[in-house]
Amino acid sequence: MTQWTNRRLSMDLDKNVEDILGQFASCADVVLRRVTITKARQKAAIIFIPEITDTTRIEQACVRPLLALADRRSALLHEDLQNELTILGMQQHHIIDDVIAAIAAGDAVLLLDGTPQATVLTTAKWEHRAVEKSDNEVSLRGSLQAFNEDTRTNIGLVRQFLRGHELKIEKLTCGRMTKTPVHILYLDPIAHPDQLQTVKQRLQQIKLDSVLDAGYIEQLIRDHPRSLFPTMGQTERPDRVAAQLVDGRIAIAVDHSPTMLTLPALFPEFFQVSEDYYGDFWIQSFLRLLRYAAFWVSLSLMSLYLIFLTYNPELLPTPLLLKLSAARMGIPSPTIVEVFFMGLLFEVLHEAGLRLPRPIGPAISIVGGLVVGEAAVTAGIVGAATVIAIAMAGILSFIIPNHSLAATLRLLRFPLLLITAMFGIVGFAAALLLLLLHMFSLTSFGEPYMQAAAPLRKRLLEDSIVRAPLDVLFKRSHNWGTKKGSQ
Amino acid sequence: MQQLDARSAAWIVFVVIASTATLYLPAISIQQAQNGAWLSPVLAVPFGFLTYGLIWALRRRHPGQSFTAIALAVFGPVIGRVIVILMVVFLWQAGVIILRQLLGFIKTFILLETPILVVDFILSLAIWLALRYRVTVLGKVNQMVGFTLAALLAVLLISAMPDIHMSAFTPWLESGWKGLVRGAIVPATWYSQIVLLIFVWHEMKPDETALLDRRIIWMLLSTTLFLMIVNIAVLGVLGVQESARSGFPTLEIARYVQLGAGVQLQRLDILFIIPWILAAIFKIIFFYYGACAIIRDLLQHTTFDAFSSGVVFSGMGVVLVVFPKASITSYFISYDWPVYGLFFQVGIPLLLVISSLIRSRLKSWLSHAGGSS
Amino acid sequence: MLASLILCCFALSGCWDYKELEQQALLTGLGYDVGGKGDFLVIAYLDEQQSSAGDKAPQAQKAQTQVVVVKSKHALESYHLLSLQIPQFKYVSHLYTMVFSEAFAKSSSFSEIVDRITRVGAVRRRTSLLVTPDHVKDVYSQRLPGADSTARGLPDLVLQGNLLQLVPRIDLNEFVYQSTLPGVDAMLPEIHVVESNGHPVLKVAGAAVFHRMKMVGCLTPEDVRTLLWLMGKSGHSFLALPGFQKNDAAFFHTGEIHTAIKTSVRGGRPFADVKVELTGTLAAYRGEHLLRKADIKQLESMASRVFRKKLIRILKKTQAMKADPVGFGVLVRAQVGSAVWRKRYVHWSEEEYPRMTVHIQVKTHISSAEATDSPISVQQTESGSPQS
Repeated sequence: MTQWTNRRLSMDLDKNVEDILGQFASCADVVLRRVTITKARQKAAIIFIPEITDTTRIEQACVRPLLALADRRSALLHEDLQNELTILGMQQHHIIDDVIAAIAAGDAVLLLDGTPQATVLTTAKWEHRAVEKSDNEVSLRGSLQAFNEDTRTNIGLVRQFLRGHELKIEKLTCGRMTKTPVHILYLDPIAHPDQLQTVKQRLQQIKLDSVLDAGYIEQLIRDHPRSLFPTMGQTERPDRVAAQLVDGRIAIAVDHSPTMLTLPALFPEFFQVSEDYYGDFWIQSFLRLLRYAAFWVSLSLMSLYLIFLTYNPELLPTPLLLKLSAARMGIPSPTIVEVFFMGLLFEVLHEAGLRLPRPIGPAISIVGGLVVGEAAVTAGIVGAATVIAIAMAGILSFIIPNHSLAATLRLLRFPLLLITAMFGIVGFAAALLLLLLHMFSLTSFGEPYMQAAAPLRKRLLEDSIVRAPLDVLFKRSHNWGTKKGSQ
Repeated sequence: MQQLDARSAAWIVFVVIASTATLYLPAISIQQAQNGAWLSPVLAVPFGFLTYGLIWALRRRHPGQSFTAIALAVFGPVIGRVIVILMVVFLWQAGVIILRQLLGFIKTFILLETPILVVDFILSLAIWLALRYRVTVLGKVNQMVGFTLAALLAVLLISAMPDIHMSAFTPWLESGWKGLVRGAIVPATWYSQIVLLIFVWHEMKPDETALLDRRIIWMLLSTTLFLMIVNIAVLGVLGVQESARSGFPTLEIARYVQLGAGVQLQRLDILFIIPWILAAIFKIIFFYYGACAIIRDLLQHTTFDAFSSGVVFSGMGVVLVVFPKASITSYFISYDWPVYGLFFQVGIPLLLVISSLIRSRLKSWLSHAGGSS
Repeated sequence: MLASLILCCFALSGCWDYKELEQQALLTGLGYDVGGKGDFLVIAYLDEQQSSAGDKAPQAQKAQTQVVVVKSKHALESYHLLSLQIPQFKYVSHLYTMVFSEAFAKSSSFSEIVDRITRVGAVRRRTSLLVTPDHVKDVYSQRLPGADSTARGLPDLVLQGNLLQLVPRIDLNEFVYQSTLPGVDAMLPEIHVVESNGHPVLKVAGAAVFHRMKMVGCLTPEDVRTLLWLMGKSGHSFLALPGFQKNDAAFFHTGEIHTAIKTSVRGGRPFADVKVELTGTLAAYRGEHLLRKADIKQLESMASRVFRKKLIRILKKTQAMKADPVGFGVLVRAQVGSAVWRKRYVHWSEEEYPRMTVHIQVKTHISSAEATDSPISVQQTESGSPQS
């Protein structure tokens, strides 16, 4: 394959066409439409890829007006096209690379004989889904719209919430082969200029051939790429992005990805959902506290279950202890194996449920429930109490609104369980200590990840473990974008 | 770069004092002061104020400087180095002693059959990994741990109130004022352990130094109140004789308390043990941190990575050789520790302050004399 | 990787302090007795797995309890000999009750055992201590009146709190506290086995009094109730009064009791002033006689006299026993200070308390008189105290 060069277009139309089509050799979907215009029989050519172009628009807004120029005496120049063509977006390029990139992006390119330029007509029309509801971020109140794979649609959805000139959108390209458009959204002057600069630098440093999803960007530009904890937000909802932007955050939209990234993302934000702000603060505060409690309980439940059954059963009331002891009668494997195996099986069922085609998906819950819940217990392979403990731990993890954090939580349970199995409550305490130290050492684009937890400050707690009334939250909880910045 | 804030520093004070004091103080104080032991923290807290006063004076005279820099500046390169090296050894072995205490506690009450070396290893590993984090991170997690410990202990103490016998406190001061003073000596050394703040203050936020003074004073008073209530609960529930005989009377209280009627929630000591262990680990971490900070400054490194493993794992090995039995540790803490602990924790800073004062007076006198001639 | 993780889990099950529930024998009761030829018996009451929730599960079993008896020459050794009969690890963290026979409680081994138990961290300090005049093994085999199963008779007796209404609440911590506090002697509830409808059942039978962790005497339930009234610890109870008319029986139902005890030392001799104020209601048989104000006054003074007599009787009994369960010594010690106490009153229960003069003043106030038309049926109990 010929390397793309930085060559300029020539005055000769045929040469230009040959150069351009030469790059698209063996691309059967590239179309060349020649037109002869003006009394001077000036030649013109339009090159486009019909599958990703609005051919109707080319026909009506470009070809037809060109053909109408049959009586024109003087040669047509690119500068004249502004007044002749009815197409809305036009750009002129001199470099062959740019012309090729535009064709590959779905635009049509108009070449005129006798001019060393090409006019790129904005005619891209990608196939994409309509705006639908979000499957992964379900809410009972508020907007139900979710992003789709088209960046322009997604940006448009965000603009519907932020109707002002403050919303800035800067465009970059990532991926050498895919040349994926990446848009940075922020509100000026609320966004932190240093963070903005950092984001741009890190995006420009990406040296991948392909960027197929926002996840690529997330893994490459975040502060702690090896950490299990997510330090960038991901959302499919425009209302959430709008709220984050108003709060001074920066959003990144990646073409062909229905997820937008937001940064910085601190730990409390992974427990927030949009409808937290649409309902009464008492109820929403309770639900927030529930989510926090669910996180810590889900993380430690399996380990504590093991501790209560093997290292320190004295904490349990005697009747409960006797019941648990009876439930374990005849179980062939030690408690640690039972708990570990059941935990693993739960994860397998969860993953299988996600991957299976929809018509078969419900079957998994039946099979899983029957096999795991009933038959295994009846057969005496596992104890009923263990099944309940594992199921509870799993269900609690589903309360966490953010999928990444929930996945982290599910993964962390296992090493915690193994350390607890080795050293009992001392091991559990030591592992918890190291986990907390790691979490507190994380940053998200310079902001402390656990900012709201320590040192405890009232104004940060207002929108973390509880949700204060909106009139109290009216002032931004952070001084993003100011010289002080947040702490 | 993140810096330590005043609140985190204040919680360091709480954890350094209360983490071991809540466990060990009652037995030690009650053995000497008997039913007057609840007043021991009141007699001991002046040592905390004295130590903080010395830190404050050093901070004022040498703003932004580390302990090593101050020692070298005040005593000169040779004697200064000797002093800081002695301090390194002291801090390291203080960490070793606390580690031995913690091991004894764990071995006696939690992991009875696990070999002590295994427990020693796991704790030392956790401490070493923790030392790789900045003091700001340690301070923040310590704040959470300290708060949790305080909250759970408050629940424990409130739950113990119905079981307190007022007869345990009569007659008033049965061992007299002498016994009270004797019972306050060991707690005094715990209060003076806040000297550890010397090793972190230059990493504090500069605009919070004024706030720090207020917070530390409040924290010292709050900790004293806390320890008083712990002693009251221990004395009131167990009585003088049982408290003095028991190695960990606060743990006995935690075992005794039950929430709910009948036996619904009993043996809550398991819940208290996690923050207790974490708080004690943090105390050891801060002692080792102090030692590593001095070494870092002496060797002019930027991090502890090169030598923290040596500091921690040498302690892991030495602890069982020097203190093969827990009873040796108890005797050491009751009788040997107070004098030399106070010397390093109060005496050295006092020496620094006095020497610094003399030096600056001498300098200004000399410059006056030179100017007038 | 997965296989190695699972293998790892099997390996971890051998960690030193890791014990499965089935490896542990749950001791909910422990007893010490003296057998023939002076041997010591330790009786372990094991609670085993009850049936699980669903009967479909193959491991469903009926409730089981096991009583294991071991004999030994030395009391301390006998507990360890239990391992010969109980193969699992003896788990004592759920120990509710310890029962001692009177013979054992009077021996010096009792204090050794109690001291040993308090040093074992696993034992709950809330464990109830009980004494029985019968054999401990019989006590652990019996059931509560009205219970339909032999399982957990004694723990139920403790848990249900019946005990609390009849005797002071004495758990291990409380007993040790009172035993080590100068100036007071501890009491423990007594239970025994009685015949009821042809079945042996457990009943509370007063209290055993200890001095320096050695049993020195017993108190009847009536005595205990009186002492509890004096200490302000009792619940509602009845005081039987001789009828204010011929063939009548009246009952004073105690509500509140306020007791004020003041001690003093005069000429080296201890004195105590006890003032008791009783407030309650009257349930009385009214024949042809209407209750008038004067009658109420008469009943009040009658109740005061009856209660005063009871108090004098019980105090004399305890003085003869040379044990001070009320705690007069604590008040004297608080007054004179520990230096004087150590010098002069260290043998309080044996020497000073028996010669202490107690002046008792009782005032009764009947807040309401519920005179009834029909007589209240009266049953005589074994001790002679009428109850309704």
